Amino acid sequence: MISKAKVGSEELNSSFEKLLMVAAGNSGVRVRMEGAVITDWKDIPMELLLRIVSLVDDRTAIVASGVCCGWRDAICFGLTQLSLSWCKKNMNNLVLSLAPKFTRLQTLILRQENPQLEDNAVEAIANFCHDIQELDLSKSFKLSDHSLYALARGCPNITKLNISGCTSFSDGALEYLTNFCQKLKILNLCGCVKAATDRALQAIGRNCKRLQSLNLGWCDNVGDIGVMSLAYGCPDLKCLDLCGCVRITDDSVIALADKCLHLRSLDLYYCRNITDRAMYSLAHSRVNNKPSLWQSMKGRYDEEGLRSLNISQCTALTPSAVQTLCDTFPALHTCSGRHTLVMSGCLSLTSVHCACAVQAHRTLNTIPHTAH
Amino acid sequence: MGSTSTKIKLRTSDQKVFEVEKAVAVQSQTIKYIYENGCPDSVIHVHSVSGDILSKILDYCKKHVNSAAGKEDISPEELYEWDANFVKVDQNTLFDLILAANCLKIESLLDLTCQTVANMIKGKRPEEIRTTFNIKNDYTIEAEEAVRRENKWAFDMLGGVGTMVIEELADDTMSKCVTNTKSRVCVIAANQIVMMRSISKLANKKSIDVYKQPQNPTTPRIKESVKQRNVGTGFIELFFHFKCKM
Repeated sequence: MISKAKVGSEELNSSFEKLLMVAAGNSGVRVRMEGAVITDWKDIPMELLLRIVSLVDDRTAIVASGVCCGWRDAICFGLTQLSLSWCKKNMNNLVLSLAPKFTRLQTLILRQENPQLEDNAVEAIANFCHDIQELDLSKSFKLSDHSLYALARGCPNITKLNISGCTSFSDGALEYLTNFCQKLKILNLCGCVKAATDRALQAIGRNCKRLQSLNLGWCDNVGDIGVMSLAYGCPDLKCLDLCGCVRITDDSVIALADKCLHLRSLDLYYCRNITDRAMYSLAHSRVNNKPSLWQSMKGRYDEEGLRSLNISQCTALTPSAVQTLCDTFPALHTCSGRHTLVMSGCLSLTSVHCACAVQAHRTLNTIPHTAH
Repeated sequence: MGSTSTKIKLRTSDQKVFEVEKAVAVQSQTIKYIYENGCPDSVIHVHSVSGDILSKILDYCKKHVNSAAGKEDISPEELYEWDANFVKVDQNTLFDLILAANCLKIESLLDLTCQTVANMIKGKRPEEIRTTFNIKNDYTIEAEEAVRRENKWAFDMLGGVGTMVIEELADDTMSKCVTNTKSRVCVIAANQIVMMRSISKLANKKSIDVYKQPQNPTTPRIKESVKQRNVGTGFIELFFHFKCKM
């Protein structure tokens, strides 16, 4: 469903602007309201048509833009969000046909169940939709580097890009993209094995200083050099998914702990090389970076710290290190309601508990037994 | 004289004068603004709204003010139904209501009327929307062709090459049809009594989408309707627009 926000709000004019106020005076003075005499649906004011279109699904919005010239012009001017994920067969053709019309799009969701999108469609988007901020191209197996080059040239305002599952992209093209799309905040490279290499991560660290969220799931070419470049280059990093990045070691986590003080979510699933050193570095970094009295307003210290950590299958970790970590970050929980510290497959860590789990246990024990 | 019975005078474009309670009239943000910033005794000239439409709108405002103030004993569900009946008007009146609600800035009425129109255009094709709202097609021939192509792609999940229609076949014959077809889409006619579950199971195994034709299909685009008699002899090209999936 399209939400009301999909329509550009600055175009909604106020009917107060149509008011003509006659100076108040004696009684009997008439106050007039201007209004055009419109009788046809094809001349419906743009803000009203956009309001109606914001209440319908994306396909109907596309259909409505084909009713008549007036409707087409209004919708093409005001449509800022569109999803074509419902399109099972002809998404590529639709994008080629719609991109020249819907030039004001800011959000475009093209996630596919079966791969349809080809380079020419992405090139069309890059040629016409320069305002794009959020683009979802996930599972577009057919796309090649040409798409990334086109996006780099045409869409410099991208802040949220999802190219997970686009396995044909190379790291050179991704590097090229980061040179031009420096406003990136959220980047999803899950499964992009060829693209997510240390070279690409170094480029990201150099260019995308505002990056907050990065998903490198199952990119097994990622190594310490890449992650360290990322940590040094992107101080605002909040969420990092290194699930399945088997090559990384403690050095990556130590760099992250040191440089990314806003880190909230870290996924190290299957990172078998991680040891207690990494855990202690995260804990110590938080303790060491507590603001001094006169620095507390600078805002570099995130009150809650790490909120979510996945260390499943990191079998080298020991209970004392992980318990220290759990004690240092109050938002990490092992209790059933808020299970944010995930340790599946780590049989040695079953004794690690968050404070609330311990508290619950204690309360149970202090309930007095009734005699007799 | 108490201020609870303050009246406001409204004059419409066709010179009709309405005298309404202030509480009802100020449901319109525009009237409220004018009343509070102009001379309270003056007649407010609602230039772009006719008498008929203003009368209807004032009915709406009165109903909602009374129900909110508890003056009328009406449950939320009943009010919802009243609203639904309120917008059961011809499209000309609906159009005037939307414009007036926008001009007078009555948010709830604008929501109601816009949602009504949204429901009227959902799932329809351009020709149908044009018919419903009496809109003339002012596209050039090339532009119209582009629109036609776009809609074909937009409605691609149903119809097109690779659709098989099954009508008046015995159940075991139908099973054979589904097993042997190369179609991706299988449509079962409305009057066909079928063993739904077994067909679905077969269809699922072969990744075929099975659709049941509704009783009164909107089928202005049927080019031809051919009864499938021979098992496994391929598929039929048809263009249907279906509403329900089995």
